[in-house]
Amino acid sequence: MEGECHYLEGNFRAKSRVGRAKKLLQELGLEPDRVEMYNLSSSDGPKFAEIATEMTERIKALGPNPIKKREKEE
Amino acid sequence: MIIAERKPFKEIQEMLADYDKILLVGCGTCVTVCYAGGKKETAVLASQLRIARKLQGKKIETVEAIIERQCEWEFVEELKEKAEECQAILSLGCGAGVNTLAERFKDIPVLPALNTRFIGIPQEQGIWEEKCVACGNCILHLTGGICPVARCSKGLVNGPCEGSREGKCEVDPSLDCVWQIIYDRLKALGRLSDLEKIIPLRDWSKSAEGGFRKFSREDMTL
Amino acid sequence: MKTNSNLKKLLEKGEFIVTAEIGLPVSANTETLKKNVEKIKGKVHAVIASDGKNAGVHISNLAAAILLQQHNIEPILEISCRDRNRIAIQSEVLGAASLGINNILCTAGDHQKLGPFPQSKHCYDLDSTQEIMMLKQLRDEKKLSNGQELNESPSILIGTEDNPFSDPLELRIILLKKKIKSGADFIIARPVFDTSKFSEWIKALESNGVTENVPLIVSVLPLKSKEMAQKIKERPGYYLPDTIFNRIEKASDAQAEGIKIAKDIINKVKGLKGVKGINIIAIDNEDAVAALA
Repeated sequence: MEGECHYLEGNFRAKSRVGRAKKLLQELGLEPDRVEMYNLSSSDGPKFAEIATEMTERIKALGPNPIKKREKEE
Repeated sequence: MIIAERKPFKEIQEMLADYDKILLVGCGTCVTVCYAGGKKETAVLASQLRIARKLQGKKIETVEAIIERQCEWEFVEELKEKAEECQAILSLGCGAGVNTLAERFKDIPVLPALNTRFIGIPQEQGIWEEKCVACGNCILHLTGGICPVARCSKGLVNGPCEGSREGKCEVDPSLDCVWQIIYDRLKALGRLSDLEKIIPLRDWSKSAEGGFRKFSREDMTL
Repeated sequence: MKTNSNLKKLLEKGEFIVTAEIGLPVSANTETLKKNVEKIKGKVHAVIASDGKNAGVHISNLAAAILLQQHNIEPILEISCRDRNRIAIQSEVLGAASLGINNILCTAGDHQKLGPFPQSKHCYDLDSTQEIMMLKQLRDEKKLSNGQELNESPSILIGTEDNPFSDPLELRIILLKKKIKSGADFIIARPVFDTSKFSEWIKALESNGVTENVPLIVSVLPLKSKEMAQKIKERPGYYLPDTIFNRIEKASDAQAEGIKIAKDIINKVKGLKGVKGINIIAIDNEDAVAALA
């Protein structure tokens, strides 16, 4: 969980970087929700599955990368 | 060092609207330290611009170059070949850098990706603060090395004003009153008497108020 | 035209001075101002013509001073350092003195970010200490700040302001002494609500020899309402203790209570060493002058 990272400060730095990545995406016109950070332990299989499902559903709702979509249509 | 920050993305996009092949020039000195225009930031901006253009159904070709400093002719000269291939140069340097590139590459539009803010330092990670306004008439020997011209909201040299309270500035209560800082420092040094000197009317002609500034040294000219 | 400051004469005589500060209109129509001026006429020795108070727009300090003169009230022309450089300040002082306006109050001025025009540029070519120094040179040496000599000197009394509630006290005393050394002829202290804290300041002035030769005029700001008290409480540079705030909050007639509080304060400060007068800040409250003067 946040703050309990084995690598101590690593999770906070990663949080900042993911935050920055979201901002960069938003600036250029892509949805910031296409990238996300979750905190969990490497042994927590069920939680990982839960997150993977959540993210899959989110991405499906957002739709494919509009650039790839357009290229496919062309 | 010079502190700058990247302009809003939309503003940069609009500047580049007419161009399909651009040279992004980063700078390895001040703007690298303030995470505005170094190698990483240049790569990220180039990537953002390409993706954003693709989202519009169009294309932009980006060429990247990082030089040690954009404020010296010798380093700027290294860009010659790449510059000639591009329709415009997007400088991620401070204002001095942009001017230098524009003067060197007269036939190519040179655009600023940054807003130059002030002369300052990284006070803490991620926080930059102004320290000097280049007034040309340094009085830091009288104020414990702390500059009131830069850091007093009113630029008072015989300060403080009547609004200083509990060490905070009346203009912005989150700002420290620099005169409190100066007082504390001189008191600790046993030099409060420095503050008894009446600083007479200043010569502002060497500051930004005096207009375009230039100086030369005969012993250093060729 | 007689150009000597009447205020100076009164101070020399040892008369207890009463001055006031009233609101200036944000308009070219001065009918209300004239009415207010008539209200306070005869009750005060002089009135301050403010300069860009709260960093806002109002009729200019000089226009206000001339209007006061037209109603036979002696003006104190405030010239702050915020908007004018040394060229403008010296010109303004010569102009004022030529019109028989002989009292100049040198202040730093409220920063533009505190007012309704935060995007404007400020000047601050000088600070108030330098302004005092410059005007003393103008008057006593007949010289402009660049050394240029004049044939005659303008007859002016030079005042400054201080804040008894700003800190650190030691630094404030150093600065006040600098202002007096530079040539301040009188000091106007920012409004007092807490007389015990104010007494501490007076004691410090006394032990530093500040008020030996320089008269102190103490500002009193009668409160009108709980809202006004709240605003004053939050304003930087003002110090309103809870005891006073509670009195106004609980009062059935806040305006009357405000006058009572002001009267108490005046009675307490009148006897303190160095205090030679009071300045009633009666902006939007011009009736208070009659009650307190």
